[in-house]
Amino acid sequence: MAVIEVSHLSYRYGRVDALRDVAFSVPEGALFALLGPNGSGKTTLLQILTGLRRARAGRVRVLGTDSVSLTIHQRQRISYIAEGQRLPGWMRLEQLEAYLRPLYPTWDEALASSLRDRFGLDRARKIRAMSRGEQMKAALLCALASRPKLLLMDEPFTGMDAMVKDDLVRGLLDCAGSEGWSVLLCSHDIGELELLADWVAFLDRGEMRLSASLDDVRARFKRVEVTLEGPAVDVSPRAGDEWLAVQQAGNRVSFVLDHRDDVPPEITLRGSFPRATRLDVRDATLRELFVALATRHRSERSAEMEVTT
Amino acid sequence: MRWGAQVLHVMRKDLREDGWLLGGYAALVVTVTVQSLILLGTTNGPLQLLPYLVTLFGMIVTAAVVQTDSPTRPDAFWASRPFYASAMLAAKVTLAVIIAIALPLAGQLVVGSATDATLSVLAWYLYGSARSYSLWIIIAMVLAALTSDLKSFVIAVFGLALAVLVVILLQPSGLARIPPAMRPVMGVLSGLAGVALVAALYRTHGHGRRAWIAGATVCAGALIATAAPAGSVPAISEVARDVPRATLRITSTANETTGREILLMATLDSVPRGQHLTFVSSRMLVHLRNGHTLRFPMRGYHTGFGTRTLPLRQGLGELGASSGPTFIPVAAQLSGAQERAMAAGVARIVVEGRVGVLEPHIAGTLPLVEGATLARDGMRLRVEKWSHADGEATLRLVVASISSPVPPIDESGAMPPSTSFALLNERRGEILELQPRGVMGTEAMQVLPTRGFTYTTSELVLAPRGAKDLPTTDAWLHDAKLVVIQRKPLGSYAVSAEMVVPN
Repeated sequence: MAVIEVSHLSYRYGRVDALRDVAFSVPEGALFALLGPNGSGKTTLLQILTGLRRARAGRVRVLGTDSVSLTIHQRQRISYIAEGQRLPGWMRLEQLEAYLRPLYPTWDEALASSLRDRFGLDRARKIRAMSRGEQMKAALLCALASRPKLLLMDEPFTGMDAMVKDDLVRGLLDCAGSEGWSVLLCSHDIGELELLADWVAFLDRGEMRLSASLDDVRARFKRVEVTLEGPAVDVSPRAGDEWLAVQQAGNRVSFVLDHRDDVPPEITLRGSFPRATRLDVRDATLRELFVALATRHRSERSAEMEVTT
Repeated sequence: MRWGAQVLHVMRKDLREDGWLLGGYAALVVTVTVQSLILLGTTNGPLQLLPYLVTLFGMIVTAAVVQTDSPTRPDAFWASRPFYASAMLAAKVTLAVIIAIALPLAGQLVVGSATDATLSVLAWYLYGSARSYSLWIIIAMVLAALTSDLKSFVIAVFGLALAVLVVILLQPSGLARIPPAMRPVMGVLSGLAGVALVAALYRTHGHGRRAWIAGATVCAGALIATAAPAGSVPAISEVARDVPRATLRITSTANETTGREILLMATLDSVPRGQHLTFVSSRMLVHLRNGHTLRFPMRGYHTGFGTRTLPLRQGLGELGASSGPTFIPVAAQLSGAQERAMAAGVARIVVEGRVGVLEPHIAGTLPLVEGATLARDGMRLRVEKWSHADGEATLRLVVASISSPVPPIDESGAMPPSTSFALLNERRGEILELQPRGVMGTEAMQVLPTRGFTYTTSELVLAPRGAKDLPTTDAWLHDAKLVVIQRKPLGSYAVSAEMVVPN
């Protein structure tokens, strides 16, 4: 069962399309990474998922209900940490917990206590006196202690040092993993999420380029590096739709292969490069994949515009 | 957590979060209330700006309370938590009502009560204050909901004020075109629309152009409504049949009706003892010898008829009371056509009008000592100066009063309750009504910048200049005390008088 189902979602800021015909779903228990560069529409998408904005078109269902019609009981099962989350700075951490506790019937004091210890947070300290990393830990503590069925996080690691990130990631993984909570995590920092996520989606300029499980992504997209024998020959005429972001430097060619056949990619590629002296094929990293997908989309768009002109 | 519990939960949080601001505001309101009480009746110059400060501070407090959990900021802490939007709104409105509105109104009530005003007058006074101040608070709520922080809120408030100023400068008569009777309705509608808009913003988190247009419309309506009168006043009723009535008599002769003006003198005869009367001339009818009638609508208002109007007890003699009749000028301007029509000859002239009846009663007495005060029936007076020598005396009184609504006795006149003062010498069994030499009045604000309070400084003497010597001596004045006489409207009745012009 999907905890989030989005189809044909569009949203505009004035005349600017922030989201265009976006569709994806987040399975229950998934750790879903929504990746995209700054300004790609991730924050808008999360705000629509939490009911803070209303979609102009399309269907958005969260926990089986339209996102703008979520009942108070459903919202008790959702935690959201916004980008640059503003916490009430005048409160001490214990006051913040006391303020939130009555709102959530599922609030777990033992979990809150263990997360406090784990994150090294002082209950008596005012939020405004905490560093940014500590504030994010406090936000995560409050989000997790309510034992949410769905946790939404928008750029939670921005501007944090490695230690803090590690603390947060471990805390998140331990809780969500062991409890089976669903997590949707937005970030423009692709490398960060590669080790964390089991589902991934790429959002670029308001359009969803890809949404799949990480296993499927790894099985489908391969990074290929070929060294050709003899003098350099332009390989672009041989390139098919399945070759993404083809780069050639002399007799060295690299690209990301969108491999959809059951035949092993090496065999197919041998047919394309019979005189290759070296042919390396490995799983594409998310960064390589994202760049490849974004580059292809942009070249397609510019080609369309040229034709139109 | 249930809805009601959430309201209290958020209010408790807001009280702690904005505690300093709310405390500062409460301290300001208490300070202004105390200074109003201490300086009641004194035209206190720059301190008159304090009510504006209370309003501004009240708006900022309201804005802070709203923006603590902003309805339109997507990153607001509450927005993604399981709060009922309506509970959040209810918490904000309740705090605004209890702290921003009720607190200064309580101050107004305390100051108003110091004048010993009746409940109905106090209620009218508080209603007027609450109505306009609530609109300012609603404007603050709307602008705070639409802006993201206090800085942008203040900019929006000044922007709104500037826009209103520009509109007034460009269309100076525009505001006057809105019928005054419509303005209270606009106030109610703007208030309801303002709260509805903030409720919608809490529910939808919308903060686009439409929200701003709606907000600007609501604020403009509320601003116009703040200039509305404090409420309609019921017209004074017809006086009871068994109340003795005076009659109107025209005292002029037709010879005085010449040129482009008809000028007559009239008076009221048979003024019942113990009544104080006002007269409003409403119409003059000139019946011509050729059967035509010229009609002249009039707007004349005269007061002060009635001899022996002091509510005297048995055996008390009144000194210096005038015994002659008072004459009223009644004039009608003629147009060229009317002047030509008059050439046919005037057969008779009828003057119509309305008499208002006021009943005098002694509101209280106080010793003639500088600093002595008396609070009675919506009026607090203080003897500021009292001196006498050689049988002459000067008394300066400072009166702070709640001006209750003035009931009109017809379209052209009003019949305000009036106050006069007399000196009473109990030992001699004599009373002397004092004559005003100079009266200076000003509207004064108390805790909130609303109308309703008047400060009057009256300089009173024993007799008008040139009057014959009164049988008072320093010893008489030494034993005298001040009597406050109030005249309360009883009702009114129609009168008319006819003058036949001989051939």
